[in-house]
Amino acid sequence: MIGPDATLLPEGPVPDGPTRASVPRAALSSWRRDHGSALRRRPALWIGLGLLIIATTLAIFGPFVWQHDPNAINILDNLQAPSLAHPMGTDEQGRDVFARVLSGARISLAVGGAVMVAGAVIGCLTGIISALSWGPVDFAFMRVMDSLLAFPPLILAMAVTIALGTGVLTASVGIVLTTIPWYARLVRADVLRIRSLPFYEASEALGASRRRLILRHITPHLSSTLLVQSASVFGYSILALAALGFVGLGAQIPTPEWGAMITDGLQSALTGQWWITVFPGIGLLVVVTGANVVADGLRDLLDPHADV
Amino acid sequence: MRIASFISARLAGALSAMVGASFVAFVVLRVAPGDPARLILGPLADRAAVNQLRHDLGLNGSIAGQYWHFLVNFCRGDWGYSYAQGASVSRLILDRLPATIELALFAFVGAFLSAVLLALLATYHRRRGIDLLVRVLSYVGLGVPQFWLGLVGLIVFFKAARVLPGPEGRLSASASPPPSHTGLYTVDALISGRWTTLGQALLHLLLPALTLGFPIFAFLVRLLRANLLDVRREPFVLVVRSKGIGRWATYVRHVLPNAFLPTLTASGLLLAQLIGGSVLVESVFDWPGLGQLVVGSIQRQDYSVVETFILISAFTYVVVTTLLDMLYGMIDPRVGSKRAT
Amino acid sequence: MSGRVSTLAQVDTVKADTALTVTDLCVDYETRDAVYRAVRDVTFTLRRGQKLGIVGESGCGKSTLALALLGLLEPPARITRGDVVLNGVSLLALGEGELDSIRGRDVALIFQDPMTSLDPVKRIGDQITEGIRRHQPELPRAQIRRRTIELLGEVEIPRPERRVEDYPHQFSGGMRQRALIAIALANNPSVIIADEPTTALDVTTQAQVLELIHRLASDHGAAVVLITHNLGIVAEFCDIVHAMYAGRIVESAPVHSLFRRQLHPYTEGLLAAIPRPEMRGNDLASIPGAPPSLAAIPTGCPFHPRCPVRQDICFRVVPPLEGVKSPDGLLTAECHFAADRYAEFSG
Repeated sequence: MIGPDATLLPEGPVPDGPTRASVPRAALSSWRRDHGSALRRRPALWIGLGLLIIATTLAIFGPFVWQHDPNAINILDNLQAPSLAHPMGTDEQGRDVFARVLSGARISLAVGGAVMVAGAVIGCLTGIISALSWGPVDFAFMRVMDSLLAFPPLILAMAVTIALGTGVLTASVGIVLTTIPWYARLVRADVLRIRSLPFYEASEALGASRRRLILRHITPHLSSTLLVQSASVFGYSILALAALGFVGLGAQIPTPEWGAMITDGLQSALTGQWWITVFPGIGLLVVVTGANVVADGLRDLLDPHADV
Repeated sequence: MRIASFISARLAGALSAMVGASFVAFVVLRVAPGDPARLILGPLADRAAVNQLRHDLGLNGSIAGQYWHFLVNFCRGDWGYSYAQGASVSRLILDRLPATIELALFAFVGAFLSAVLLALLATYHRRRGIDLLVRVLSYVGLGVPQFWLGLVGLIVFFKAARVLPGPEGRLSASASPPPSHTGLYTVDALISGRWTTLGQALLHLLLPALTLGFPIFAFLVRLLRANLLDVRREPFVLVVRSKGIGRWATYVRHVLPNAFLPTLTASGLLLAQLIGGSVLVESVFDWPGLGQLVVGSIQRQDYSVVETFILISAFTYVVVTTLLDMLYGMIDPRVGSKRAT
Repeated sequence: MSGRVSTLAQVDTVKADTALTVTDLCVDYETRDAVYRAVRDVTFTLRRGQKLGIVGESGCGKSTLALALLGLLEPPARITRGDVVLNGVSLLALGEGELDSIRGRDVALIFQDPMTSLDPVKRIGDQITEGIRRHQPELPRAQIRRRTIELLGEVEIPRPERRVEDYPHQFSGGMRQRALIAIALANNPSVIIADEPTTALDVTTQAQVLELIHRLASDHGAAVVLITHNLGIVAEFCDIVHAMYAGRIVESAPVHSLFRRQLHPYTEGLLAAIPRPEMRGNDLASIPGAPPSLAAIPTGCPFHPRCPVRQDICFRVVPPLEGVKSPDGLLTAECHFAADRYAEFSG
């Protein structure tokens, strides 16, 4: 969980194995980019998407199919190893871990999505406004972004959660705050680049209004950057929420958030009841890795600077 | 003098970031619900004591005044006092710093060396097997929750296989630390020739360092692998080979250095990872470092410690990234040169 | 007089003063989708001290050929047929290590883009020294350094003793190219392969660099294979010219002969496309169409889609190598009508 940007390589996509691209371009002068075949050649992207879709489906429909109440305490049944009745065992209070993992999926996915969207919207707006503004205003905005970026992301999120109180909502606000500068910087750079392109200058010269310029000309070109960055932010925010839950700043027990569940099962894990801690972690691993793989795949597919 | 303007620009940026960060930290923490003085003294203290503390902490002044007070104190090294833990914050932090530094050092060096080794192996031979392994490892490393990884490690190696020590910190309770020179148990043990202590310390470091370093390893190996693959396609590599230099020599002498440069700039992120990660990992292993201090302080609502930690993290991060930036500028002979054609 | 020949090697018997012999060389790119043949049955001989030019448009396989001659092809490219014999030794029979020993010592390469052909983070002097030390490790440091400075002087870099410490970005394009020449010459190779050495330079520098390569090669007794798309520089530089198209050598002739008469319509087109002052006011001549991609080589004669004088047979039958004995020497071309065209030129 290095940061919202960590899974994206600063450079473009990486070639792997001999492909048509290895043959000198001049020699294959009649070859055109074929998105269809590029998609077919990227099994990783499908795996990632598949994982996410499975997780989302389980999250949405799971609790309807699996009827156990994630918060139902049943002391007599506590610390049961995984079995047919409880596929993921029960925790210290006798709550069914599988039900809690399913509920946790809802929380993580929802927060991931919300943070991704909120961060994108706010960061994007900030970036656009900053790039299109008068010099000193732009400068000021970017200094504020720099100040936010001066903090290791987790630390900033922690600070916000301490200030605003614990809970999933405040944790989400803190995480959004850490993603805003990433978006803002990227979008600003993109807008500046677009602004210097001939077609934009032409539109300006023709007298297009600010609003039209932004909506019709800038936003479409931002989409690929935003898409790629958002996939990465999705994964990052889920891990960040879990981390905050782990240190006790995010979700609080009995809320079945995965990070909090891992803390909850800490003591039990070391006395042999590993299932309480392990399963939520697997959930995190699967969902976040899926998101990262998708981010990578999108980057390969959409990067306008790609050479392949 | 391009270099001079380059350096001063970087320094100015760093300074503004630090000032901005201090302001953010100040605002965020002062917004915290509750009366800081009350929080510090606890619910049983009487009102007079609370008011006295409010006065001492300057909480009765204006916001701007408080900020100024706050900043000045911080720069002077007066980081406040923790009533809950009965010591000055600076004392608490300095006491625990060596433990965190030792852990972070081992984690980073281990991650770095393995990343370089694996990236080289994965790209040099073009063998799909190792390459796939490296890519899978890096995905896992970037997607796994660190604290969970540590726990799984403990479950497997401590509980199940019983080969590694449990979450008991730097040494087992019965062992005594070596005479202190640097505060780093491994170094101190090495210096004073306490071989069993050295072994014990290393054994206790193994799992925590692995856990802390794994995401760093994952990030580095991916980056290096991509850079190596990019650089080796550049024309100058063929020119080197045309001189008769062998493949391995070309790789190590020419491709690797060029691949390192972009990695250097990205490494600033890794420090953020180390700082954030140590907060998580130390809790799992009961490692007596800064991270554990912070987590404990949060739980005890001992905000003077947390506040200082937040500021220090930000400052360290800014300083290190700026230094890295300047280092990159000095190492890469192309940066700052006006005559680049 | 005309005669049918199957390979040039049969006519030019291998003599002791032959530096390089290439016989029926084929280089394939083997990818997941298909196999692309970039170099097809290329055959030529290079004598000691001779300057040979290989001319063709981008994509005709010249650069692949250059790499093949040095044994520097990387997967998915591979030599699938034929042989390269350098100073009597077959390169295909050698292992990696042995090839490494030969490169830089017996054969050297001058690359095309000086901006990207030097390691950006190493000093110019070190990059030259590396080559010397590789093949003459027994030499003392001071001597190697002296030799490096000497080389920089030979390639006409002013103040070589100072410039030796510079990094590539401190050199202009022309100077970088000279440094590359110095690297190539460092160990006195018998064969120098120059792949478009002047393409990235401005015209004035082009002339200087070419003259430099020519002079130094002659001084050191090295043979040169000059690969280029620019017929103009071939005239100044080479003794013999081979024209390459779609991976094949479609015409070979001594340079003066080629400029007087072209047996292959492609070469004729290339020459016609060179702008001349007499053409002022008229459109520039060019060969219509574009070179074929490796994935779609035409049947029969690969040039037929663009050939102004194609006949029915050109669509169907691959032209054999036709040879013509002329006062200037043996001329060869892969065209069904080579002999007739020769007659036209002479008659």
